[in-house]
Parts: sequence; structure tokens; C-alpha cells
Amino acid sequence: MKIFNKSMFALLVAASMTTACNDFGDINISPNSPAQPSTSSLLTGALTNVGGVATAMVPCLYTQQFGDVTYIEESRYKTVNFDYAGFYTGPLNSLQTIIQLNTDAITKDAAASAGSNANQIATARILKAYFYLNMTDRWGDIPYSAALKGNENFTPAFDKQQDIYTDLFKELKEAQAQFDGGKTVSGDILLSGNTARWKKFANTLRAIMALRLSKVDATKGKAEFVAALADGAFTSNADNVQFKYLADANYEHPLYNNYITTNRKDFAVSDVMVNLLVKLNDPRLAAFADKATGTNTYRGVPYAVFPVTWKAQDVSLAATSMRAQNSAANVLTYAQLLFAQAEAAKLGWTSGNAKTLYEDAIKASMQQWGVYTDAAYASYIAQVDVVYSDAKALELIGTQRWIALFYQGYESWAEWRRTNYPALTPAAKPLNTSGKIPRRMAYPTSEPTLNKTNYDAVVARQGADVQETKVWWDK
Amino acid sequence: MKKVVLSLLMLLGFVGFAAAQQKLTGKIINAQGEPMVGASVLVKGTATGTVTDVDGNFAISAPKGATLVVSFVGAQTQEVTVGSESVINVTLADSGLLEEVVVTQLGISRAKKSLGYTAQDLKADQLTLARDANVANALAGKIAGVQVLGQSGAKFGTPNIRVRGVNTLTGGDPLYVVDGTPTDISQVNVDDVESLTVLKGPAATALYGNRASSGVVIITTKRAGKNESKFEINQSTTFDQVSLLPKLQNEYGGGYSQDWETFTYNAAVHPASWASFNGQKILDYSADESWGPKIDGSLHRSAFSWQPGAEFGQLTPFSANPNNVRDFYNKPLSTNTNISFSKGTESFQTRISYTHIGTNGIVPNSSQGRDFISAKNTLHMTKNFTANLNINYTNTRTKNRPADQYGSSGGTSSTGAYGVGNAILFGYNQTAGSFNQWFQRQLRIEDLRDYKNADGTFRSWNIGGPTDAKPKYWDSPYTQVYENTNNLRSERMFGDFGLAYSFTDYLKLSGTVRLDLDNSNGEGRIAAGTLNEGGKGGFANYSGSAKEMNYEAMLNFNKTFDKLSVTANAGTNLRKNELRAYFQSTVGGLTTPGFYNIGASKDRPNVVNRLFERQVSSVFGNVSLGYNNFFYVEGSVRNDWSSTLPKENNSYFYPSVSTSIVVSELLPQNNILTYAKVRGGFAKVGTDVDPYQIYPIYNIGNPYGSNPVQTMPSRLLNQNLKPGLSQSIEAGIDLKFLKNKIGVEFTYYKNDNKDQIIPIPTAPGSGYTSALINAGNIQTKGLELHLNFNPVKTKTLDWNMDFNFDRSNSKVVQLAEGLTNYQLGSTWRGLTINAREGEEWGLFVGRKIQIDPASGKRIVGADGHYVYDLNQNLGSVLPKFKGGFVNSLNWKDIVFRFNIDFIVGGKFFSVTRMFNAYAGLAEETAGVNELGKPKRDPVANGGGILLDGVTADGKQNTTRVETQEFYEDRMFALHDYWIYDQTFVKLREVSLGYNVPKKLLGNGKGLKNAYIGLLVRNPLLLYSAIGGGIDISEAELYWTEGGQLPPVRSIGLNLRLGF
Repeated sequence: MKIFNKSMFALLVAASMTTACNDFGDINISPNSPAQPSTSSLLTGALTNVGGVATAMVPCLYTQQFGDVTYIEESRYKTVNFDYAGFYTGPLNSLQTIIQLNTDAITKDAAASAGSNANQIATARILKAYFYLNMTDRWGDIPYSAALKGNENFTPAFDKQQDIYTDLFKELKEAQAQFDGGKTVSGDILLSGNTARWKKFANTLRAIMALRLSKVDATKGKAEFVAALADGAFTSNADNVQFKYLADANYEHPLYNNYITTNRKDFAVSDVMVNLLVKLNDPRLAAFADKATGTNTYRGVPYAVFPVTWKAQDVSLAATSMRAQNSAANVLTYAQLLFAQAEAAKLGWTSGNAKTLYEDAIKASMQQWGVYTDAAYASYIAQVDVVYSDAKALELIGTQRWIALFYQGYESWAEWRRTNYPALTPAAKPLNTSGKIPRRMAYPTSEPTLNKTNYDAVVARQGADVQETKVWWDK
Repeated sequence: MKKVVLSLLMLLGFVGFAAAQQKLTGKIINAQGEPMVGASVLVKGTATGTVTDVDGNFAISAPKGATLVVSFVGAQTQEVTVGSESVINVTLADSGLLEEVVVTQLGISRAKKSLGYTAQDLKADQLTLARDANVANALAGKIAGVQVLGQSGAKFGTPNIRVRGVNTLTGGDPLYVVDGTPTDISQVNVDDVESLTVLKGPAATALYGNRASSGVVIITTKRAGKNESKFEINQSTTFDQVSLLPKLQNEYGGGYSQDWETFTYNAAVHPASWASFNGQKILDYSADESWGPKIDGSLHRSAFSWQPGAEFGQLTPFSANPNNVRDFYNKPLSTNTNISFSKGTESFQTRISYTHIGTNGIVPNSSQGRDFISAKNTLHMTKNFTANLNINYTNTRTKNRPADQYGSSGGTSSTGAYGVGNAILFGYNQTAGSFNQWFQRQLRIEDLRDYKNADGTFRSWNIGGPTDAKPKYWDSPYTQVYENTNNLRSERMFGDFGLAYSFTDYLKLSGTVRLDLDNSNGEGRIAAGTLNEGGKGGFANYSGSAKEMNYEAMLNFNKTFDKLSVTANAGTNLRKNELRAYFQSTVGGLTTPGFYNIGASKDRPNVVNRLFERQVSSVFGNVSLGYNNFFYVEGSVRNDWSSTLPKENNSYFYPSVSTSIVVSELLPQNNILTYAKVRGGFAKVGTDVDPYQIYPIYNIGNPYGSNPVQTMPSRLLNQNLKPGLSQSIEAGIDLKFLKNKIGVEFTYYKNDNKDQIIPIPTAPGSGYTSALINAGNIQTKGLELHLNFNPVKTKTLDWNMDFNFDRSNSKVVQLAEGLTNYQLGSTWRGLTINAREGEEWGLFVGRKIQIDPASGKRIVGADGHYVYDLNQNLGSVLPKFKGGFVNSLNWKDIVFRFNIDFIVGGKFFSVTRMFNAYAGLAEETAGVNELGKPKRDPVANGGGILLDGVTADGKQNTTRVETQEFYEDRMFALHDYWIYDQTFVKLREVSLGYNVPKKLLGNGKGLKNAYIGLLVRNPLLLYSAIGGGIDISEAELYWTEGGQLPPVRSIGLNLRLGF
């Protein structure tokens, strides 16, 4: 019996373990990450990406506002493929989730604790449009209508840039009209839930977008431009949208990080920019650049010259005043709108006075950079290289806009591609094969393997996946 | 009662019966007095029989007057008549044929002939050849199909081991089981190891469940024998030094240009006292490359002449310091001391062992101290009831573990399983990462050693300029080792408590609780005023605990019926894992320099705390039947339930079957073929997934001011996951010739690893960059050959040679629908390593130099530089062929042994070689060209280099290129150029020793044996395809390195005493 008992015991132990085997309770629920979303936190998270777009260095190098100091790479167009995964998995998916949580019947009431459903949706739509606009301007055709569908579509097709623009116009127009005066959106670190400012941001962005069509579809461009202004755009520098960095190492200004935190000093203001500002006696020089510490003089870094014969102390770094740890970066400015209006007037899209708008734009830019005085402004706009002339209007607007867009790389690059002003000489020893300034960024290298059918289709339609292929609006 | 037992046994698929008679126990030993494990004891003319246990003990019931037949392959069979005694001890004479016994699954010792799969094992003396403190290192080249992915001894790390190529998409380490308890290889004290068996195929691993899909390493530790009393001391002291350094040039100093710069006095920025410096030769101190002026002895201002101290304002000769790097590294002494005590009687056996290993690093101010304590206890309470307690405790203290990844500011540190850490902890590589990649060749190491000013500020060779003494890219390496310190500690305890009850001589029930517990903590410091953390200082610390409990119950049946032997086990196991990790680091600097505390974080500190839990319940069983010592068949089944899988899919079942036929039993006795066996098997193994991969989660980020931040995860989790399942077949033949003078073991295997749970990459437009699914089939095929030669064996001379060879191929047969490539990793400018459908696993894809098909030469453009294409296939990382050789020669009392291992083929990307050349440090960047002109002279003056290639039209290249432009600009990230064959041949270990003859030891009552010997670890890299002073056998990753620490050579003395 003894053996019997013990054998039975063993069997019972085995059996009891077996029956309990497939039920482990909540052990597989992660204690390390929240299982519930918060729309205000998702919005803050999405907004932290605005700074990265606003302060990107690569396009500043393409348009020769900045130059490389030691490692002469992107100013010679080294990188071909750029990744956009961070947009889709980051802010876009977060904003899509915000819209969804404020739309679905089951979640919308709970979501409304962070602002009225309509206000949250409108904010998210405008912000989504902002990111998508930046993306399509960089890569051209991108996944848009089929994007952000998760496991419903792991291989989203690429939409034509033209169709994306059409939809973004619609989105911005609808979204700015969607704010319902309800509860203020929380988590809005860009505009503090101020719906009036969001509307102006949406309409100004729409006007800038509309002008992008000047060469490819002037009719639509004109219509959208006029409609955007009618809906209410920026009226002063007080409306400028800026991304504020913090006195916190987690969110510090990228140039502070490069110059101070890591002491690398990889980028300096280019000789192309410095020489022009010196020549024009531009009061913004001191706001853009510091004197070289080794010589106490302004010296732009020789643009894209290799091998190097200078050190960081020999060249003008970006001005201390614009790159404190908690400096703000310009996202969209009144000066930009005025330059756009000046060009639109010149193109006959509006009845505005191109000369006045051009001069106002310069004035707004000087005020924005905090260097405006009546006297300096008056003598500046009177000099031969600046004074408005109808014959050279587009070139003048282009050059002055290039100055005003200092350290707003993507806007500066888009405007250069559209207008080809100012005339820039490509890097002397380029690392790309064409030797030309890039006109777009190539798709991430994952697309040809992960999304081959759609990738092949977009290449067939848009042209080779290279820096030299022009996006739709770039003619 | 018997019916219950019988029906239980029938459940397992066999029938048995029992007879209650007079009980006999005994021990079977060989001529040398060692216990014979697995010897067969049969009652002649009946079906009653048994097999001896690991201590050679047996228990059997037989009537008085019966005859016991005691047999063992390799020994002469002996018959003993049962009298009135209850204990029968038998000594079996050697028949000249050694019977091999190995410890296999579930810790059971088995006669090798009965196994239907390979189970290659190593005994203690093969492992401790040169007293490598790490068991994993000591495996190199000693087991067919096992690859040791070593690491430099300078960082006190543990190598990774790959068994039979790559069995999972991302590659994996085998499971280590010490006396039945799963633990970590680094926690095993080599001096305690009795034997080590590697179970390679799933046929052998089926019973270990889902963690065994990359093989199992079973370690059996030493225990006291019955009636044994032993005290042993084993001490070695080694002298450690750098064994290999990259080849560096000594003709040019720091800078980006050969032209001397001169100091220009500028009253606006310089003190008036500097006016006299005007016109002095200066360097570009901010350059961390050596394309600078020729080292010509001319008087110049060094970086230190602009920093406070005696050298300020001084001119010094610009002269070469060829040994500056070598002189940085120390040549310390390290010790390894073990003492052990064994005592056993019939009713209890205990072994206690203590080891202290003190390793001083070659990197200054780095060291590691380790203490191992173990106690192995067995109590035989009654004849049938045994209690076991095995405890192993390890304490590890590492001071200043050097980093070996890329960069002064970019590395990360790994805390292993805890998965926490950042660069502050120990991620900044300012030693080897500087010397071999970013340095000024002319620097005097004495200048660097003086790394701190009287006022507490730091000195660097790499300053911004005369007016800017802030370190630019690098601190002094001494700042790194003395000020940016780390301190890592871990305490580990593992072992088991078990009870076993023998109902009869053939049926045993055991229950065991197994524990493996690790507690680790560590901290890292960055001093304020040094390069990193914005010059504001930093502090990080972590602590973690990892616990695994296994509750195990097993019923064991072992009986021989006439010619049929039956071994069967049925058991159940519950595994619980719990891992907690806490990590904190300062952000934005320290508010109080010198106060290293998270409370001193300027900004909100980075805080991570994590908990992972997992449970796996299992039932398993196996049956092995043997017929007449020549035919064996074995089957096993296991079912697991894992907490990490979705509830509806969390149960998975897998079987195995194998067979072996000892063909030689059928052959007539002959002097040529002594032994022959054919074997074959088939098995499946199921796998689960890591915790928390099922339900959706959101991520939290650093708050922006007072605003909390949430982000979407980039991986889409999956509530429909199924268990992964791999299956394998294996077949082989074992032969012994000329009375064991030649032994051959040959194995073929094929594994199909299907339906693995993998995060497949998805097009980012979907909103996710990866999604977890069941997919894929990695097929691994290979051949293994183990050869043993014993050409001479006489009383005075015994020469033994052991060879291992294997060839394995891991092919990606299938990924997921619509997916043809899975990226495993990437580095500099788009070099990727991939699992690509239809290709061998570990495929490099990157920039490849065009090849002229006609001549096979590289193509150069009109400018004389190589022409390359993007995204080209650059070969697989997996070796084609590898193996090793252990030679052992005993002549009288002298023992001489060495161990060589080699790898043929497989690719490797060397970042060190790339930047060593990029930065003008490498030997190949200086010297003269084929015209006898300095390579670094301008092409216009006959300098430069002429690349051996052809132009597009097939004509030999005649266009010379500037050397600096070639290496610094064109070859950077030209991946093809820096990808090398891994092929190497390495002499790993050498030992030469003397066993003091017994007659010199006196009466044998005190000192029983004594050994004194010389040992060398890492003596020589005999051949290396990569060249350039890189030892690929000690790389930080299996496919690339970022900033290689040098390999360490140890030369020392070993003394062993037994009392």
C-alpha cells in the first residue's frame, strides 16, 4: 500500500499541475507599459516631433545656409536614402489614434476629458497635414491614403503627390473650420490649445502650400491661396509658430547639443550666407552668426570644401542668441507669409502690391530676429541689391526669402527647388553621382524589400528613386 | 499495488514485472578503482537486472546461490555467485576496449552505445588544459559543431556559443544545465566541473523544452565518492599582456594636413604674454586623425604646451612614439586558486569547494574579483531514501569594465538579461576606440598619463585649439580609466534540494526544487569637466534580480529483462521566471560635481523599472529499450504550457524518436574494426515567446515640461500567436579501429526551424516597422566529424590526438508571405546583415566594388578610384568550415598538451580597420609607393597610390590617387573593402607539466599527488585572413566590431596538490 499511496500522490501532483497548466491569470499583462492611451499625452508626444522638422540641418546644408566644419558630408550630398519610418510610427500614428479615439462611439466620451472631440480632431488633422506636407515635399509620392492601417495593410501603396496636395488642402480647410468652441485641448505644447492660433496656422500653411503649385498648377494654386487668406492667416509676428526647446537635456536645442553638450561643432554658418550678409550690411548677421572665436571676426565656413584647412574656432558658428538650450525654433512665420503674398501678387494671383509686401516681409524678418531699426531697415531696402525691381522681382523675393528662412531648412530647400533662387553653385567635390544639388530624398532602403510591388510602381510613375528626380511641383 | 505501478508503466508504453527477493547492493569499479557507471548487473538465467548509477552503485534482488553477471562494454564480463553477504563489490578488468559513458538529458548517465544521437563530452582535464576561468572559452575547438564567439579578456566578458550554426532567425545561445539546474555559463567554476556534454540536436534536447532549440550544454560537477577523503589545492598565477595590436604607422603625426600651421598672435583674442609665440609651429589639436605633418623632430607646440603645467609655452621635438599604445596597457598578474574538500561514507557524501579568481585587467585600473563557493551533499537516510542539497554561490566584483564598442561618446552598455543601461554606465570607449581609430600617432603616453591639472580641470591631447582647452572628441585615455569609472557587482546562487525514494531496485521517485538567483548592481560615473555629458558629469546605476525556480517531479524505471533493458522516465516540471530591473541615470549633468548620486541630476533623471514574469508547465516522458546490447530505441514526448502565449494557443506537444545499432556485435571478433554503431533520430521542439508580446501597449516618454508624453509602439503585437516548432533529423556512424587506437564519429543533421515567432519588418507606412507573427523556416544542415587517434599507448608514453571538424549551412528557406528579407542589423552607411529568402543566413548587403568579369580585377573610374554599386550581396557571416585539434602527450610523468582551433570562411566587417585607415593611423596609409616615393606625397610629385584595377574598358589602371583622399574620403563605408574572411588558425592553449612521482611524495598518507606546470593561454594567432592586428576570434559581435579591445595573452604557473 505504501508504494500505491506514493505513486498515487505522484500522479495527483502531476495531474494537478497539468490541469492548472493553461491558466496563468494576468501574468502576461505588461507591468512595464501602459495598456491605455491618453490623447493629451499622445498629442504632446506627436508635437515634440515638430522641432525636429523645423530645425533639420541637412536641407540647411543643401541650400548652403550652413556648411560642415570637419566632416564634409551632407554638404556634398552624401546620404541618398532617408528614412520616414519615424513619421509614420511616431506622430502620424499617434495623431491617427487621437482622431480614432475621439471618433469611435465607445471611446469618444472618455477621450473628451482632454478637450472637446471636435477640437482634438481638428488639432490632430492640422498637425497630420503639417507632417505629411513636409514628407511629400521631401520624398514626393508617399504612402498616404493607404497608410496607418496596421495589420490591415502592411504594404501601403504610394499616393501621387498631386493627390496628396489635393487632400491636404481639403484637410486643412475642413479642420480649421471644425473647432467647436468646446473644451480646450490639453497637452498642446505648441499653441496651448488656442484654437484661433491653430486656425491661422492651418490657413497660413495652406497659403504656403498653394504657392508650391505656382509652376505645376497655377490655377489651383491661385484658388487655394486666395481661399486660405480669406479664411484668416497670420497678421503679425505675434502669430508666428515656434517650437520651444526647454532648459532640459531631454529637450534641448539641437545646436546647443552639438555646440555645447557634445562640443562637436559640426556645423557653422556658410561663407555663402555670411558673405552675402556682409555685402548687404545685413543687421541679421549678428542674429545668425557669432564671430570666429579664434580671430574675433565673421568668417563663414567654406562651403563643401574638402579636405578641410580650418577648425571650428576659425569659423562663424550659429549665433549664441539663437541656440541657447531653451531657444525656440521657427516653424511658420509671418515673414514667410508676406514673401508668399509678395510673390502671389507678382504672379497676379492677388491684387496686392508686390513691392510693399516684399518690403514688409523684410521688415517682418528683421523684427522677428530682433534687429530691426527704422534706419537700418530704410538703408537696407534702398541698396541696389535689395531694392525692389519688377523685372527682377522673383529673384529678389527668392534671395530675401532664403535669408529670412535661415535655419528653416525644409522650407528654404522647397522654395529653392521651386524657384531656383538664389542661384547656388553645387558642391565642388560632390559625393553623389550627378554632382547636382538634391531635388528630393530617396525612399528608405526598406521599401524595395518590404513593399516591392508598390515601390516598383511608384518608381515607374515618379522616376528613379534618386536625389535628382524632381517631385511633382518642382518644374 | 503492483497493478497500479504496472498500469503506470504501461501508460509509458512498456510492460514490466517485479520479483521480491533477497536484497543485494554493491559497487562496480574498474582496474583503476574508479566507479563504472552504467555497468550491467544481471541475475543469470532470469530477466532480472539493473545498471549501476553514477557512483558505480547498484541494488538488485536475487536468491541465494544465484549467479550475477556483471558486464560493461570495454571490460571483461565477470560472474559472481551470491552467498550470504548483502554487499557485493566487483572489480572489472579492462578488456582493452573503453566503454564510454556520457551524461545526457535529465542528468542521466548513459552508455554511449545506447544513444541514437551525438553527445560529445569533455572531461575535466580537457576543460582545464590551461585553466581558463571561463567554461565557455575552454570549449573552443574541442567539440564538433560548437563555435565559441569569444570576447577580449580585457573586458572580463563571457563569450557566446553557437551550436550547429544558426537555429533561430536571430541566432541563440544554448541552454546551460548544471547538475540539472539551468543557469548561466559564467557562473560555473571550472574547477568544480567533472564533465561537460554538449547535446546538439533536438533529438537530445527534446526533453529540455523550448529553451533547448539552440542545443544544451550539460555540466556535471564533482561530488565526493563513497569512502573517499580528499583535500585538493589548485593554484595558478599568470602574467597577462596584450597579445596583438593593430599595425600603426609612425611617420606622420596628428592633423588633417601635412602642412605645418603656425601660431598667429592676435591681440584681440590672446593674452599679451603670448606675443612671443607668434610663428611657432602648431598642430591641429582638434584633429583626432594622423594625416598631419611628417614626424621630423622639428620643434613644435604640443597640445599640452597650451595647458597649465611645466610644459606650458614650451617647444618640444615632434618625434615618433611607436610604442605609445602598447605602453598604455598594463602587464598585470592574475591568480586563480581553488581548494576543495571531499568526504564520503556509505551514508553521506559531501564536497565543498572554494575558488578565488583575481584578474587584473590589461586596461589600467580595471580588475575583477570572483569567489565561488559550492557544497554538494548527499544523505542516504535509509537504503531507499536519499536527500540531496547542492548549493553554488558566486560573487563577482568588476572594477571599471572597459567598453569595446564604437566611439568616445556613442556606445551603450549592456547589463545582459536586465536589458537596461546607457553609455554612462560603461559605454564610452576612450581607450582602444581611440588608439585604433581616432588618435594622433606621435603622442607621448607620459603626457597622457598626466591627465589632470592642479585645479582639477582635465587635460586632453585633443583640444579645440590654443585658446580652447576643452576636449573636442576625446579625453585622455587615463581620464577615462581613472575618473570615468564603473563598479559592477553580482551575486548568484543556484542549486537544488531534492528527495529521492526507491520503491524497488528499479523504480524511483524523485522530487527536486531548483533555484537560480542572480542579484546584480552597478554604477558608472562621468566626471564633470570631461568630454561627455556636456562636461557636466553624470552618474548611472542599476540593480536587477533574476530568479528562476523549477519544481520537478520524476518517476524513474530501470530494469533489464534477460536481453531487454528498459529505462523509462516520466515527469512534470513547473518553471517560474521573474526578472526585475531598475535603472537610473542623471540627465543634463550633476548639480554638485563630484557628488555621484541620482539626486544630483540636473534635469529629471532617466528612470526605468521593469518586471518580467513567465511560467511554463510541462509534462514529459521517455522510454529507452535496449536489446542484447546491440539494438536500442528511444522515444520521448513532452507537452509545455507557456504563460507568454495566448491562452487558446499556449499548449504545445513535441515528440522525439531515435535508435542505435551496435553493428560490431554482429561481426566476428577482429583486430581491425573494434566497434561500429549506426544511429539515427527525429525530433521536434516547441518554442514560446518573450513575455508581454500579445496585448497592445503604449509607450511613455520623457515629459515635456509638465506635460506627460505617450507614443505609439513601433511593433504591432499579436493576439493570435502560435508556438514555434522546429524539427530535425540526425544520422551518424561511430567507428573504432585497432583496439580504440582510432575513433571516428560522423554525424549528418538537418534542422527545419518553422513557424518561429518573429517580429517581421513591415513597410513603415503601415504605422509600424515590425509586426510579431509566426513565420519562417531556417534550415540548418551540416556534417560533423570527430576523430580520435591514440597512436602510442605504452606504460611510459600515451599520445592522444583529438580532432573536430564541422561544416554547417544555415539557409533561409522561407520568411513570411510577401517578405523576402529580414534585417538582423546595420552599421555604417547602410551596411546590413540579413536573413534573405533563398540565401545563407547572415548575408551582408552593402556597397560593393565592381569587378571586371574578364580579368576578375576591381574596376576603377577615370579618377583612379574604385567604382562601386549599392545594395550588393557581400557574402554570409557564417563560417564554411571550422574545427579544432587537442593534442595530449604523456611521457612518464610529463604532460604536454595544446589546443588549436580554426575557422574557414564567413565574412566579417571591421570598423577598426576602416577607421584605422580613415584616420591615417594604419601602417598601410604611410610608407612608400611602388615608385619609392612617400605615399602621402601629392600625386603630382610622384606620391599617392596606384590601385590594382582596370578601367571600364579593361585596361590596367594608371591613374594614381591621393592617399588621404582614398582612405579618408573614398574608402569610408565602402563596405566591400573592409569585409574580410573570418578564416583564422589559433593556438589557444598550451600546457607543460610534471606529475611528481608517487615515490617522491613519501608514504602517501599526506600528500597523495602533486603537479606543477607551465601554462599559456592565447599564445599565438597562427594565421588570420583579416590581418592588420585584429583577432576575429575575440570580436564584440559575431559580424562586426566597433572598437576592438586587444586580445590578452596569459603565461603562468600551475600547481596542483592532492591530500
